[in-house]
Amino acid sequence: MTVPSILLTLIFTCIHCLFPPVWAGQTADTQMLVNGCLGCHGPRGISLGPAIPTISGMDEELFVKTMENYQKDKWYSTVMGRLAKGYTRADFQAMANYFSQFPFTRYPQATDPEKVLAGRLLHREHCEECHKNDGFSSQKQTGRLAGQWLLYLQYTLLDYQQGRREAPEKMRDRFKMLLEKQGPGSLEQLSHFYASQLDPPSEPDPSARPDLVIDSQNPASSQLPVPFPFSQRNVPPPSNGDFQPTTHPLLQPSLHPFEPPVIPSQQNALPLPNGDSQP
Amino acid sequence: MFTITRRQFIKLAGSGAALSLVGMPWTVQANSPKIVIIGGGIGGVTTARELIQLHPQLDITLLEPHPVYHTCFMSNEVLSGERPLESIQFGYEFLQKRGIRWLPVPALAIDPVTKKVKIPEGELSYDRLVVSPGIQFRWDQIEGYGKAVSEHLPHAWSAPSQVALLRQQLEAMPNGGTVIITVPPHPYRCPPAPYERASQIAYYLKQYKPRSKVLILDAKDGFPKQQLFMQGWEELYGFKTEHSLIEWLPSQEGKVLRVDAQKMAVYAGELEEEYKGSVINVIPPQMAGQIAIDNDLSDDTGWCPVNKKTFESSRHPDVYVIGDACDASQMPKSAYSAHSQAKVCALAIVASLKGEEISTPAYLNTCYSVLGKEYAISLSTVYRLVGDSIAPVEGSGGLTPEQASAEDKKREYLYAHSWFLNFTQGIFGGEL
Ligand SMILES: Cc1cc2nc3c(=O)[nH]c(=O)nc-3n(C[C@H](O)[C@H](O)[C@H](O)COP(=O)(O)OP(=O)(O)OC[C@H]3O[C@@H](n4cnc5c(N)ncnc54)[C@H](O)[C@@H]3O)c2cc1C
Repeated sequence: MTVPSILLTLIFTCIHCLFPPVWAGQTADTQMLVNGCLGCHGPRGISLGPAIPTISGMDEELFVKTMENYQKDKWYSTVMGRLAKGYTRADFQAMANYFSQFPFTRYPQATDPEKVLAGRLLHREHCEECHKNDGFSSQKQTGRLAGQWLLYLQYTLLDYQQGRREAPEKMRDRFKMLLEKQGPGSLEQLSHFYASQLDPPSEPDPSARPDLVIDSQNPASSQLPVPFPFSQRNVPPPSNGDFQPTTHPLLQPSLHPFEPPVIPSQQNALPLPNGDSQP
Repeated sequence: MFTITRRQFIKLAGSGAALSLVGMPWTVQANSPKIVIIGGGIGGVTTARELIQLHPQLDITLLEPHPVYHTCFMSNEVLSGERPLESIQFGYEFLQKRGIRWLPVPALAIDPVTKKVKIPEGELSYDRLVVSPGIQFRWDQIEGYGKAVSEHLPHAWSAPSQVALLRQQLEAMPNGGTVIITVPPHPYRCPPAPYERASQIAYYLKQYKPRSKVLILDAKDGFPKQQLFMQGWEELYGFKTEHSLIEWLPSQEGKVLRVDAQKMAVYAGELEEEYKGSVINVIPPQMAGQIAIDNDLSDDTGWCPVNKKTFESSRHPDVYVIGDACDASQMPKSAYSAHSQAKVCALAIVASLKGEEISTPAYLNTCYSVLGKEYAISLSTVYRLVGDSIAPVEGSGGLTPEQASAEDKKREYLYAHSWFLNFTQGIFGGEL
C-alpha cells in the first residue's frame, strides 16, 4: 500500500456520500440475479433479437408465474425451463421487481398489412375481453402483446395451439373457438396485428408506466439501442396464408442485421488486429 | 493517478482515440477511485460498463491496443460463409460516451506492490486492477507448429486475420480435399467450439465441395454435447456412413504430436500416423494471456487462481482476473461465463471500495452451437458458490434433449442469433 490508510478511509467516506442508488430499491442481490437474464434478453430486458421476448415493464405477478410455469415444465421451452430450475420463488420476485421498473419498449417491425387488418378484427372479437386495449395492457394473467416481437408471438401462439403451453381455462375455450371458426391462419394474422402495434388505441392508464416506442426515423433521439439500420427492417413479409412461423427477415443472409461499427479514424493508424490476444 | 507526462498524454489524446483528462464529460474527481482494466474483450468491456453503471464517479481506464474487437462466437459462421466478417466486428467509441477512458495501447507490466500498470507512454496507478486478457497459445507443445507456421496453418482461435485466412483456404481448396481440425486437451477456450467449427465447415463443404470432408484429430476421448453433435452430424452430414462429411478420431489415433507444414501433414496418435490435409486448422493448447503469466497472476497450471466469490487474484490483492484467463472451477471458458464473471467482479469491486461484503454471487452460462442451417443445440447452467468453488445448482441447467425435434433445433438456431444480437448489444451497444 502506498496510500496512507487514513487517506483511503477519507476517500471511501467520500465515495459513500457520492454513491447514487443504481436502480432505486435494487439490492446488489437483485443485480446479481438479473445479470444472468440480461445476457440473452438484452439490457434492461429490452430485446433486439426477434426470437427472444422483451421482458421490461412486465407485470410482476405475471413474471413470477411465467418463471414458475417454465420451472415446472408447464410451458414448453428450450433453455428457459432448464434455467428456471436454478432459482427460487424469491429469486423470481426479485427479478420481477427489477424488470417491472423499465418501460416496455417497442420497435417498428415489418408486418403484412393484410394480416394486420384481419388480425385486428380477430383480436377485437376473440381476445380483447382479456387482452385489453388492443393488447397494450398487461395484467396478472395477460402479457403485453402489442409491440412484442413477431417471431416470438408466432412461436408462442403455436405452442398454445399445440397444447404445450398451458392456458387459463377461459383462454383455452376462446382459443379452441378461434381455431374452429377461423383456422390456424388466424394465429398468423393475430401475430402480425400485435407485432405491428406501436401506439395504444386509447389513452393509457395514467397510473401505469408509459411504454416506449423507438422512432424508426430518428432512433438516436430515444437513447435506446439501435443496432442496425431500420431501413432494412421494412422487408415485405412472406404472404402465405398458413400459420407457418417464418424465419425472421432479419435473419435472411441477404439482410444481415448487423451494422459494421465505425472504425475510429486514426492518424497514426494502429496495426490491424492480426496477432494473438497478446499485443 | 496518471503519471504520464502532460505532453505524452496530449500526444495520446491526439491519436484520436484517447480522451483528454480536461473536458471529460463526466464527474471524475481528483479523489475518484481509479480502476484500470486490461483487455477490451468480453470480460474487460462488461466490467467497465457494469462499474460505471454501479458507480458513475469511478475513474475507469480500459487498455486495449486493437481498435476493433472481433467476437470469436459466431466466427464459425464466418468460416461457412453464413455471415460476413464485418458482422462480428465491434468498435470502442461508445466507451467515451459512457464515461470510460479507452487508451488504445497494451499494458506492458503490472506492479502489484506500488499498484501501477506500465504502458508504452508511461504508467497508470490504480486502486483496483481488472485483468481480462483472454488466452495465449502454448507454441511449444506441437512439434513443427508455431506462430510463424500459423500464418499458413491457421488456428483461427483468437484473431480475425486468422479467421479470414482459414475462410480463404476453405474457398481455395479443391472438391475432394480434407480439412483437418486438431483439438487440444482441456482446458481451452470454448470447449464445444471445435465441433461447432467442424459442423459449419461441413455445412460449407456439403454445399460447394461435397466430395470433401472434415477430419477432427482430438487430444481427448470425448467432448461437450457429444451425443447431440453426433446426432446432428448423422442428420445433416452423413456421419457414420461411408460418405460422411465429418470424421472424429479420439486421442489414441487423434492426439497430435507433430505438424509438417511443407508436406501439409499432421502426425497423430500412438502410431504417429500421417494425415494429409488440403487445409489444416491447428487449435493449439492454451494458457492465460501473456500479461497474466508474466506478472505472477498464474500458477503452474497456466491459469490464474482467484477467489471465486470476487474474482480477486489469490496471488495479489486488489487485482482481479476474469474471463478465459482465470480458473473459475466448473465454469467453461466462454463469453457468457466471462460476461457473468465480469458482473460479479464489478459488484465485488464496488463492495470492496465501499468496505462492504459482496452479496451472494450468482453466475450463469448459456452456450449455443450452430450445426447448420436452422439447426442449433445448447447447454445452459446456473451456478452458485459452493464452499470456495463455483458449482452448478442441482437439478437445473442441462442440454438440448436428445429427443428434441427438428422444430426445437430450429428454435434454438433462432435463439442463438437473437442471443448474439442482445449479448453484443449489452456489451458493445450504445446503451447502458
Ligand atoms: C471459435 C470460437 C467460438 C466461440 N463461441 C462461443 C459461444 O458461442 N458462446 C460463448 O459464450 N463463447 C464462445 N467462445 C468463447 C469466447 O470467445 C471467449 O470465452 C471470450 O472471448 C472470453 O473473454 P475474455 O474477456 O476472457 O477474452 P477476450 O474476449 O479474448 O478479450 C481479451 C482482450 O484482451 C486484450 N489484451 C490481451 N493482452 C492485453 C494487454 N497486455 N493489454 C491490453 N489488452 C490486452 C486482447 O487484445 C483482447 O481484446 C468462442 C470462442 C471461439 C474461439
